[in-house]
Amino acid sequence: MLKIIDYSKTYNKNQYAVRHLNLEVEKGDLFAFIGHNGAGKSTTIKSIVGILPFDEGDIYIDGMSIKTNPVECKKKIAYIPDNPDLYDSLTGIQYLNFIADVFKVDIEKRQEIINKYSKEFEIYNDLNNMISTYSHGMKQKLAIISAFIHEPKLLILDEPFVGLDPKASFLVKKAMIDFCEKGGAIFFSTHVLEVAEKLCNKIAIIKKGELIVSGKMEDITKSASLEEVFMEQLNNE
Amino acid sequence: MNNVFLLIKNYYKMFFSKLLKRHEIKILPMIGLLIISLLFVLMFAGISYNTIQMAKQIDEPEMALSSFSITILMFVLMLIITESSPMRKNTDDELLLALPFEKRQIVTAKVLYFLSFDVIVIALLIMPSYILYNILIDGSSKMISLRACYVIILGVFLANGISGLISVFFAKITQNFRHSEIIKSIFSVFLIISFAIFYLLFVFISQDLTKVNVIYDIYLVKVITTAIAKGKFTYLIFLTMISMALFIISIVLKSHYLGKNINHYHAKTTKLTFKKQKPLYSLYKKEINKYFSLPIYVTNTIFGPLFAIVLGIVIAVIGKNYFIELLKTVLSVGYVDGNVPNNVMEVINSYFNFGTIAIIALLISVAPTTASSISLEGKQLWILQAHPIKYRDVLIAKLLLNITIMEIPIIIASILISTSIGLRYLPFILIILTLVVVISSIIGLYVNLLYPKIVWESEQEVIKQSVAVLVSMLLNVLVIIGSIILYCIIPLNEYMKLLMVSGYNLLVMLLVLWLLLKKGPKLYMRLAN
Repeated sequence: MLKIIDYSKTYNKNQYAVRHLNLEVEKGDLFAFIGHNGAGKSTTIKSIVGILPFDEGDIYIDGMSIKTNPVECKKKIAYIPDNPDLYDSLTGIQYLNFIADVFKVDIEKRQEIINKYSKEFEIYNDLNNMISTYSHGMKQKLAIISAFIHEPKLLILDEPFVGLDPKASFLVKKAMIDFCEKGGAIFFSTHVLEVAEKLCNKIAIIKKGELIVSGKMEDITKSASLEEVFMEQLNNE
Repeated sequence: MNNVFLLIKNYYKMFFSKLLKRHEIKILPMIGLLIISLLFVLMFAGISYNTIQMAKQIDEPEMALSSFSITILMFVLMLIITESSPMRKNTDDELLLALPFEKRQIVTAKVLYFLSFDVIVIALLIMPSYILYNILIDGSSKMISLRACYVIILGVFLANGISGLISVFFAKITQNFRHSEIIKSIFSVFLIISFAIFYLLFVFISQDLTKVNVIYDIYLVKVITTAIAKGKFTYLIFLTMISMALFIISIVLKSHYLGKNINHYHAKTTKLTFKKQKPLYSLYKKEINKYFSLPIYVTNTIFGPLFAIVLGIVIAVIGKNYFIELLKTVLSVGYVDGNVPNNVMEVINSYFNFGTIAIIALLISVAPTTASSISLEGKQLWILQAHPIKYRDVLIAKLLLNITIMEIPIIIASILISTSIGLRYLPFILIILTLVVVISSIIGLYVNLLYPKIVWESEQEVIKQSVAVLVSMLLNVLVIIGSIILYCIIPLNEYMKLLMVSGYNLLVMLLVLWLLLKKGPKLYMRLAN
């Protein structure tokens, strides 16, 4: 579903943000991407979704390169940034309709998905209000609903639990598991190691722009906790 | 007070560090900015020179000071209109509120920082008039220039205070409306039209020396003139008190609302509307929505087209011949004997039709919405970049916004003008002006892609102070100067000249379009870097 081959990204010509990264996310995978602040997680994620151009390597979504087929690739994915800034001058429902229009989603389908998730996330009654009046958590919920609107094959999430209340956090985790069980794949960055350990079947750890560990959760953690593994990897120079 | 200075110092530090980033020094925009500034300074100085000469001729030098007082008031009015946008949350509000600053200190620092730019611009434009006055009028006190400088600063404070009060007033009365900012935009358009009418009225009245005293006798004009000319203490105190009082009240009120959600609108219905539209149409609607939700965006881009309509109305109502007579009166100021030579009047007569088209072209092309449209995406740019939206559609939607905003005034102004100069000119006027709008839209968009400002604290930085806006203004003026030169040098009849100018504009349009399509995608991809 997602294949990253020898991906490198530099800033200011010679400064590597991420260097020679290789990863593969398959159908049904719930893949956590962890690392310290500034390790290169968000840079990688922004390149996967086509926001940031990159220097070396390639990224394939369902067999298609994001470099050569950006629009087709983006049709198959959904992305939620860590701090979703949405269009303040629109109402919640106008924003969802806008995203549905971009993905050319039918009226019935968008109605079904918006009704289902907005009621689950308890923002149905606020959808006619301006986004400028929403709290951070409500914007996050709206971005999550918009991500499900076109039934993507791959979800890319950057710190998806930031700003969510406990109930919404629980619902997001449940939605993520359901999504993968139905054949979708999720690649997400997080700092909450307990969540990653509980939810994910695969994990990758990035340190100073280089991938240091990648694979199945049970192979990496073995008898130790993910937190112990992560700390050990960070301390190994 | 120390905190206020600390914050202002920090804003300036950020401003200069952004401006002087070593790998991003923008030579072309800097030169452009200097040229535009110089042109405006020279233009104002030229007008002032004529005014002083005229005042000398009739042996009433103080009349020139009254005229300069009107200019100060015009600037104050314009500032009130452009700055009375609704209070919006700046991106650094929450950070500053979390730090040990008082709300009043944050607001004062922000206001003083932005206000300082207005003071610089207005002082640059008006101060040469007073310096010229000192040079040309024998025995005039040097204190006049000093007092003028003080009054200009007070004027900016006054404008800021009044616009602040209007903002708070609007925030209060529209807090229960869903589209409160759209209501404010409509109000801004109304203010601009009033200003345009007021300005043109002043221009006409000021041409008749018997009526001009009516304006100069307006209380505020008298107060400003006397305060500057004679340094009358009570008037200076009065101006200081009124400006500072309004400024302080607006700061107090703005501080009260800082960090608060002003709009209390809550939808009465929870029934959702689902509409399916083509992606391009959806993008276009989003652009329209954004435009009217930002009154500062509206006020800074709609001045030109509204002035074009007002000019069209004036020419249609008073007729071509009377308009030329008025021009003659204006120009006569520049001649010692007060008579405009016949050959000059012949040139004006023969170039009047194209001159009108060129003036309207200038009015509609100097501030295209596209010049700040990419930068205005700001932190929401990820929505366009992470979704399957074609680069071409994003640009078309932004171009269409500017064309929509400008085209209706063009049609109205063209019809009005052609009723006066001849309906046979209508197709030419429409074609040339439409091409000018398309060219200015494309140039604005391309320049904004070239000089984007994605990270900003308030929309004001992008709409009023960005490099892209200034450079696109300069380039659009150059394109129109090209049309004027072409028209003047072609030795053909008027129709052929207009046809050639249309052809030139078509060629320029194709050229800038090719440039946008060729270089645009790469620049667009670079935006997130």
